[in-house]
Amino acid sequence: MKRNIPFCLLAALLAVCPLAEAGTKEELVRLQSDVLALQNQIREFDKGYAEKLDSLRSLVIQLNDQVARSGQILDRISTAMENSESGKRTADQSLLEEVRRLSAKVDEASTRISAMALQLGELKVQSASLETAVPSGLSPEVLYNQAYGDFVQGNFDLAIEGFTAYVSTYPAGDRVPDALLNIGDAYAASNRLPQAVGAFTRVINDHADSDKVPSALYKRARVELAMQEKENAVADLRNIVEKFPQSPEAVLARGELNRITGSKPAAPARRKTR
Amino acid sequence: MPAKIACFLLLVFFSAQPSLLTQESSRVTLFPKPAEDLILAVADVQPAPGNAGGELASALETFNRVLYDDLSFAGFFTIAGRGFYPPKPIVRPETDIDYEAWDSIPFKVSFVTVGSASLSRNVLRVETSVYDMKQRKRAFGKAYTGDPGQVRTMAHYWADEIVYQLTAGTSRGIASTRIAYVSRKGDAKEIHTMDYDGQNSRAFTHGGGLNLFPTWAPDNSKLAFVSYRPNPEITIYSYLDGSRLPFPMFNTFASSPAISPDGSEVIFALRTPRGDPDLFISRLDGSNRRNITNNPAIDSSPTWSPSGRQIAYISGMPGQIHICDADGSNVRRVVKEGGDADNVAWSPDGRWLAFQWKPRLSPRYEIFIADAASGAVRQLTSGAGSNESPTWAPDGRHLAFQSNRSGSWQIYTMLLEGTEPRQITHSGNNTSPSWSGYFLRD
Repeated sequence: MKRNIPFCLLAALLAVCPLAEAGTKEELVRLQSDVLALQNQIREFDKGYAEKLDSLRSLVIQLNDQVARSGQILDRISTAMENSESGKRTADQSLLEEVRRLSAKVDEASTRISAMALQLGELKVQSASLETAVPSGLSPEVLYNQAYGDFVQGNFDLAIEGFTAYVSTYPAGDRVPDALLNIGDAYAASNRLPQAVGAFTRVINDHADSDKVPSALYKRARVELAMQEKENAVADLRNIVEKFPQSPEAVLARGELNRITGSKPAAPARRKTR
Repeated sequence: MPAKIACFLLLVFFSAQPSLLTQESSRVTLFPKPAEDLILAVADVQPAPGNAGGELASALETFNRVLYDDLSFAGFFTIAGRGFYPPKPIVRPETDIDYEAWDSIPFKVSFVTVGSASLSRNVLRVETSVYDMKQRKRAFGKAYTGDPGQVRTMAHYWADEIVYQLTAGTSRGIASTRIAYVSRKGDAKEIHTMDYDGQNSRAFTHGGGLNLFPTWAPDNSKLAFVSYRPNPEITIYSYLDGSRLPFPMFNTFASSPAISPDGSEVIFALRTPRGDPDLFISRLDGSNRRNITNNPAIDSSPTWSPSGRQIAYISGMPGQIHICDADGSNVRRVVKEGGDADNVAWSPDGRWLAFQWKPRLSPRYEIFIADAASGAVRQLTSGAGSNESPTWAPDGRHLAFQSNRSGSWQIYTMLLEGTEPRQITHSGNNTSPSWSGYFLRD
């Protein structure tokens, strides 16, 4: 099953992406790279899995040894009980000692068994998550960085897909505001302006505490200007100046406002609801 | 006992974490990766039957040496050492390649490049082929005709063709690219260009003034640089006909030009009335100029992302690497560590930022690369001298830089991994390399 995953993934990628028609050579190379990265991760997991199995095997061997030793001790006790009528008191003493030691060893063995159960449970979880989540099972860093690589290369469709996968897979990820901002930028670069506004709006509304909000406001304003929505653009620019006066975007916003209105920025205007 | 159990459980718990799924390799790897199992033999091109003579022999000696060097430096193949080749020269490959003899050497050669050449009435013709040693048949070939003085170019073209074909078009060779740089002659500093291996150097400026920081347009149609007239000004020349293109003079301080990936705009540092330089973007004629880093810090050394949507640059003193979007918004610092960075260059595949960096307490600059997305930093050079001003080859696998490790400033090239360093200039003082893009050819 695990070994089939890369091939299933490759097949899925090839089936999903309309590469034959529109894909560039770079996109193909990127896809190959993605598949290679997944294969590497699965190989790493296999390696880790094998290591864990080895350590489990070693634990089982140790446990067997202990069980065997405990058996020997019990035999010795049994023999001692049968053969030592006269030295009963001494035997009782040594029996007590042996029982104490045996009890300690059983405790230890029990601990080891619990640990093994825990470890097996972890491995099961890992295995299950690998089987169900590998198609999007890249780490947040890898997923984000690959999307960013597409973004800076100008592969905007791939970048949108990658960042969207990041946002949906890791909705609480550190870089969700960055990803949404980049999605908006990629839409804007592809002249899909309403979608760009949507992505910037998600940064502004859903991540109001993020330091990306001034950028999102500025970018949304520029897209709105391109969409002939001057009032909304002015409202956004004034919001930046008002709420984030120390940000680099505030300097840019003042410049834009001067250009648009030919005057100093006034109080924040209210956006028209879309 | 409970403490022991707790320790044991903790150990088990941490050892069972799915960390392997989230780890990213920290090693710098070339992409596309070198084909480790692809062994290429570079058999000498031989005189065609009936052709001999000193001039042809001299041309072929050059061709064979240049081709071998180009393919060795390409970083894609393992080049089989010549000492292992069967002794029989390959003039007519169909009959001269002794496959059994090639099979008997200690490693399996995948492909062999062969060729023959003739020289008639000062026209050199080189016919070259690559043979697939597994299929035992010709894979592809080319013929080059020209003046014997163009023999190096022919070898470069053939090397690039081999890289292109054997990587299935994934990569184009860099052997036909050129490097612009600054060469000091007395008090003057002139812009020169040379082949990527340091040969065939030519002066591009001749005015005797100070000309600095050359940079190519991505399509190689133009060279932009800084010239002192008497203030440092942005100067843009056509590389095709040598004519100077109109660009405004600012009579203050303008520096660090970089032409956008689509060739329509230029970004440069310009001193503002505040006194500090900011970064401005304008069209190539200077129109539509706008300030994208309007702040009191010193901003310099801008470089475009491959999409042209982002700018990486140096801000502050000591310099720190920042990225902003080309509209000036979304500014963020890339490398979190301190130290002093300068001369940042964005890789053609968008993944890396190469720069010179002097970490805290370090006495000199070294070349580093940072992952543009994560900011993770890796060191490429070390050892004697200061290593500065990295520039990317268009394949994104090679870098050129300046170093004074030999006692004077010279230009070096290396693979992205920091391996295969080569000194490509040897006399005078040569600095500020800028690697061209690919030149169009058939």
